[in-house]
Amino acid sequence: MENKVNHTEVIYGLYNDEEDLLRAVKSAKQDHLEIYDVYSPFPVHGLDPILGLEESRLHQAGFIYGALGTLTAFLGMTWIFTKDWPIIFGGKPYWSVPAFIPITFELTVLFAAIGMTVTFYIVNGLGPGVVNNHLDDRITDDKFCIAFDKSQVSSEKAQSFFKSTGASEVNSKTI
Amino acid sequence: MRRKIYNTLSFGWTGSAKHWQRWESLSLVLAGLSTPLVLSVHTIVSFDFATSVIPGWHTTIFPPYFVAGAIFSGFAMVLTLMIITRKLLHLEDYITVEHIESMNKVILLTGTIVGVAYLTELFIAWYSGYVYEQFAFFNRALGPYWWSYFGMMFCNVVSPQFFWKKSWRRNITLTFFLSIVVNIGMWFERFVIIATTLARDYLPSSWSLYSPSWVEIGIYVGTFGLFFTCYLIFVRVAPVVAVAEIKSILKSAGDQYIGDNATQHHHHNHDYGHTPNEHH
Repeated sequence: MENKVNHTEVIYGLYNDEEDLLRAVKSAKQDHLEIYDVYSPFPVHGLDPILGLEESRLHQAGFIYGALGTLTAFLGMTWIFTKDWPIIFGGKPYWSVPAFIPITFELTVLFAAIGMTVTFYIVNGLGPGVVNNHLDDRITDDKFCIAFDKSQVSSEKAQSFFKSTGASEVNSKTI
Repeated sequence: MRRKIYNTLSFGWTGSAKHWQRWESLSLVLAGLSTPLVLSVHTIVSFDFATSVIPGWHTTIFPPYFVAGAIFSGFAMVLTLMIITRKLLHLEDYITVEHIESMNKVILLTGTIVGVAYLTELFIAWYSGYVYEQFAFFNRALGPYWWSYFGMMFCNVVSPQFFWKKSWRRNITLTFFLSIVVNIGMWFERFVIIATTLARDYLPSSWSLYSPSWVEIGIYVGTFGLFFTCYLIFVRVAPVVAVAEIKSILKSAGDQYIGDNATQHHHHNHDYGHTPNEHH
């Protein structure tokens, strides 16, 4: 989906409604037309399975980051309080696990949150100052868009597809 | 210039389906992580008091009491700001009376929990048989700062009880007024916990009454300034409601749409998720 090749000629159709979009995606799948990408102003529910998108692995990455935070905090405190600089607090043992819990939890949250957010931007190719070509400004407002790669789907095929599925507008663009 | 700034801040978002999928995954996990964080943060803030050896602070009830108090005062503060912002920016269609009523229910619940915590503190102080603890609470309620204890009790425990009545929960003027009362009450709570306790410690020779220095007053006023600067900048330049999220629930058509043209839009013969009686 995040095609880094700068020159993809696409033909795209705009729909006025998410229901129309869902129907169109479904019929494209039935006609074996390979969809380049689908754009929408908000997450359309039920789109991912129809489009055949695999479930995001981002939350798995989040789990790994979280586990890393847990280990960093717990092992770090263990090392500090038993090896590096042991101090007796109120007659408690050096390795006082209950006292470690808050920091362990907080570092888990911190690592998972920052790790996931940074990963999210990197895998999506987003970031401060990044300018991606978009097909149409109205996609961030109220239009729903299906795009075909012209090298995969011929213009005529795409035109007739958009016509039959009720697209309000069809355009071509190189992105 | 404005275009350039918003362009930079948009991070090159395109609205691609895969991006939205990852976005949903990320927001779900972040929400899941932030929720226990509320409990953790306020628990640990209260530990700053509870791990001390000062009577009136050294109590195990502090963590749940602070968590409830934080939700209580947080909702009240949000209501105070939201009611004004909603009015000035004409957001009545987005932030509805239902939202305000629901928030008032949370205020009623957490205010009552805080009230139970206050009474439990008093009971435990008496029941502990520990004279210093007993004195700390006697001093709080009936000492030189009795007015702050009374203010706290009235603003935090009595005033939210108005929200038992549905029509009062839905009354925006009353909600606004009570949200400010709750803000004042929570300020009194902190004053009671800190000032009254420190004014009467173990050594009567070091007893004194609290009077703020000009530095403290300056910091207090300064926090207002800092907060409102950030808040007003936010309201001025940023979208105050998450537009994409609003759009995803404002259905213009489809099976879940229940508005005016619901029946007009069902000429498509779609084959998913419909109810049997939906086609006319």
